[in-house]
Amino acid sequence: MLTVAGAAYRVILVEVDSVQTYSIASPNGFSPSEDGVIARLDSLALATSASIEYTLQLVEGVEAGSTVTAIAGLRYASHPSVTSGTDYKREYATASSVQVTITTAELDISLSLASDAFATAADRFTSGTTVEVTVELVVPEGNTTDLVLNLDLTG
Amino acid sequence: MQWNTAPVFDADFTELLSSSSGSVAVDIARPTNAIVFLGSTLASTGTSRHDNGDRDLAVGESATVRTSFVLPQGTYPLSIRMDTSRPSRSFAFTAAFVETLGSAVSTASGLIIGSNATLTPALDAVVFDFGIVNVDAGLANPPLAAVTISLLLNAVIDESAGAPGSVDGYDTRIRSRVTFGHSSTVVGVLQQFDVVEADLAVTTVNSSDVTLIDAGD
Repeated sequence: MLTVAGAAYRVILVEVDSVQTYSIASPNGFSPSEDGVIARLDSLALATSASIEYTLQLVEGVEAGSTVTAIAGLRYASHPSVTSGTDYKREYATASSVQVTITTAELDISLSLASDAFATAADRFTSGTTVEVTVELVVPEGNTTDLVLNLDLTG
Repeated sequence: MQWNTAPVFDADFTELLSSSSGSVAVDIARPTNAIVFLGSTLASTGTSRHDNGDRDLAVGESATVRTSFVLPQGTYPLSIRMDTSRPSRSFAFTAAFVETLGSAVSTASGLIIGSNATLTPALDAVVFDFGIVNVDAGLANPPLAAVTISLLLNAVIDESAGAPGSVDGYDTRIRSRVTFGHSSTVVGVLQQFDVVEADLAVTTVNSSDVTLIDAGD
């Protein structure tokens, strides 16, 4: 089962060994929870592996600059059935994770125009010079909270 | 056997007394004991892990073994114990009963085909106490089946904390011991097993070079 803290993903597609086992349009009996889908594997032979590919989509409300962790949790049992009367099988669990970082806002400021032709590259102006500066803010897709642009003219 | 030399006719001769003896011995037949693995509940466990050749059993897997005894003719006490004799328990015995009882065998205990063994507090030891058995001595050459007892035992690798031997690589066994006769002679046989556990690992990777993405991607 792939789980993501904060429900930042939607699981779009799951493929087990390149065979589609789940999609939003065709869940094949899987019941995805809010932040994960369980892919069940058949028994693995000794020293073999299986590849599970999850296609995920970040939700629109994810916060810029944050880091989202996707955790792949693996649960398995020593025996596929339970002996009647007593739970003899043993449960195991292990997990691994990957992270992605959400794009953050980018801010740029530049001198666009100065009335004093002698303005230097060091931005030295004489009194009375008017300047025009351009502030460019690139806001990433998604949800950016508490956005404040502060132009400090001191110093 | 004793004998003398010639009778004494003259005082100069001395009669000599001689003796000699000889013996033969026979061994009273003993029960023969055999144990065989019949199967388990997981087809995927074989013999390749750990001690090569020993049956591999996963935690929760049940194994069935048959132990059989060919009894000599006669009358004697007979008791059969099946256990593991290991320092750490891994098995829990879940069923043990008399599978066959030869037609020439009569028991004082009342154990018959289908009778259950007595489970000991150890959970991995059972006892079949047949009491005094009589194996018909009137038959010159009884058929093997008539003088054979077989027992079936089902045992599971126990997951519980009370079974510290249920860990990967542990050597375990089922032992069958028959105690018979008034001198309590013991004949034992073993079936060896390895406890095995799967150790699956999961690794996750981002596809391509996705490390920085936007909401909605």
